[in-house]
Amino acid sequence: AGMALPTGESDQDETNRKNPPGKAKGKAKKSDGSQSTDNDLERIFLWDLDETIIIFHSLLTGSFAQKFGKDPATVLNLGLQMEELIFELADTHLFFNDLEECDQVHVDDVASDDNGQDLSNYSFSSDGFSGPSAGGGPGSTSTVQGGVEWMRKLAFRYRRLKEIYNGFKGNVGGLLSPMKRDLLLRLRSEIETITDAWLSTALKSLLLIQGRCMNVLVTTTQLVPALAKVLLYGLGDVFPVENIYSATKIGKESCFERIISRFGNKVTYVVIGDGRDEEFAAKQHNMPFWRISSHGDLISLHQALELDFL
Amino acid sequence: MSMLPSFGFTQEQVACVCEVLQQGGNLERLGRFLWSLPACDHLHKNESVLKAKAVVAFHRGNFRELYKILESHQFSPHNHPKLQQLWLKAHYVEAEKLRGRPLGAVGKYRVRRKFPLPRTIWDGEETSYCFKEKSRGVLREWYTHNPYPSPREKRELAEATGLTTTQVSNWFKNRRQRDRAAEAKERENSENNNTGANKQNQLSPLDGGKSLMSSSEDEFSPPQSPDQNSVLLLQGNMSHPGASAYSMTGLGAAQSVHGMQGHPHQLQDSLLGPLTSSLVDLGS
Repeated sequence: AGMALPTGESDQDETNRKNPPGKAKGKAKKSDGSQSTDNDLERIFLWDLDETIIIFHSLLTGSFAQKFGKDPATVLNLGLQMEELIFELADTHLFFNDLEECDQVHVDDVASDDNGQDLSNYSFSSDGFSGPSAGGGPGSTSTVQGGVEWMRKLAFRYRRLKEIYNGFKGNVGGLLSPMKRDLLLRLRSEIETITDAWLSTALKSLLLIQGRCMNVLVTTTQLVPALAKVLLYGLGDVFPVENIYSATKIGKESCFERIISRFGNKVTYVVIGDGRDEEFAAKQHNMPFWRISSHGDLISLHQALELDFL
Repeated sequence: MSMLPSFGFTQEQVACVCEVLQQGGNLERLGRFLWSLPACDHLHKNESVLKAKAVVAFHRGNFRELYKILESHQFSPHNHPKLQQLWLKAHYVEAEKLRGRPLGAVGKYRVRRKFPLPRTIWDGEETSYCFKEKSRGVLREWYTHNPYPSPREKRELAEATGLTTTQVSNWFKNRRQRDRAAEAKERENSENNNTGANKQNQLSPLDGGKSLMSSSEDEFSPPQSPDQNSVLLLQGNMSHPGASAYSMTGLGAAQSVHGMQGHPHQLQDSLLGPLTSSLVDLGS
């Protein structure tokens, strides 16, 4: 380590602030698997989704209402409506029906099976991907599951998913009917109110981080519904689609491992979550953990970021 | 997790910040953060905070402070490696400054011997050896059966342990030498305790070499004449006030000493036998 200079100007964090803020965002466009060569990337924040950034699951289970003293019926109703929107979006636009049984950890996981052909006139609904499944006997028109052709069609879907996400992350309303659009706005507003602006508080930290380093999402929701949630809750701009990982199949610990191999270990990782899996996974990888169990924790997080403590 | 109203961060959050800044190498920021912490005892005894303080103290070259922190709080095992490194590096730097030039391996070894790791950051386990425990075990086992392996056996051992024959030879040579030194020291200790012999016969294990050690037996026996001893002993006993109770047989036996000079042990036994038995009688 050596001796410190008295003024401390040589400290590496000073140089970071001289870099333009948009830089981290640009680097995020790299696909999964390639090492980020961004020398300025100092920190990567690994966020949990439910009950950390958004309040959703606990609306349904009643735990939120109980913990924060809200009317259970109202809360439940909001949760159910939101859930309906999420799965409707997932089914209608994000191929959830096709992908539910074979959902991936990361949107680029099957990219190697893609042949890159033009998809502008491709018909996903009639390409034989899903139908009476596997092995199809005589007369079957559906593709054999697991075969080369089937994998290619799978890859097409994830490619299209990416396109949709990138196209509508700033404006998810464009994917919904006017009626659903209004419903979504109303729901979000009511949830904000009943959760004492939980999401907007979290968003402050997310935006601050995005300005100088990077946000990654690691959720136990399946990938496709997770994308739906992110879009519907208006988080598409803070999480590039390549930065979203679903831990359903492999667990958070393995996801963290994948992220470390992607970004290297010269970066400092900070895990943010409401406990349970992420805390344990963080400990396994010796990553510092910031617990979110109340509103105040989100505020403290923002404060710590503003004061340059994190 | 106490929440301090004016400060705004819980202990857990403070610990998180300390970890983040340490891992990121942002020691200036860490220093400023620590300085901004309220003077709460509980907070300052938190292990992550202490670790952070140690790192900052090292970074600033404030070694006195560093040693104080490391020695006055018990740290949990998973932090030991990092803190041991700080301790050692700081001592190396200080030694180098005194010497005026960089430290080699021997120099560092001497520093480690002079400033052993405090138990607050070390569990007392032996520092790492050059050879794996498995290899050392094989060598030790062999040594107990035969401390002098032949060249062919050395080759076999080398193969079994993954070492070179030279390494095996050296291991055995060193082991024999150290065993001898340990034995010699052991014997010297017990002699010092029994006879109060003067130290002229002492041989330090580091002196000389193999030749002295291998023909050791005679060198260590004291050059006294046994018969003189026994006479002295008798005289000693007889002049003792308590000896007045001894029977005249002891005195009578003493007069026949001169004819028995060639057999010191017998002399001692015969003279001392009656004396000691009467001593025993007196005692009971």
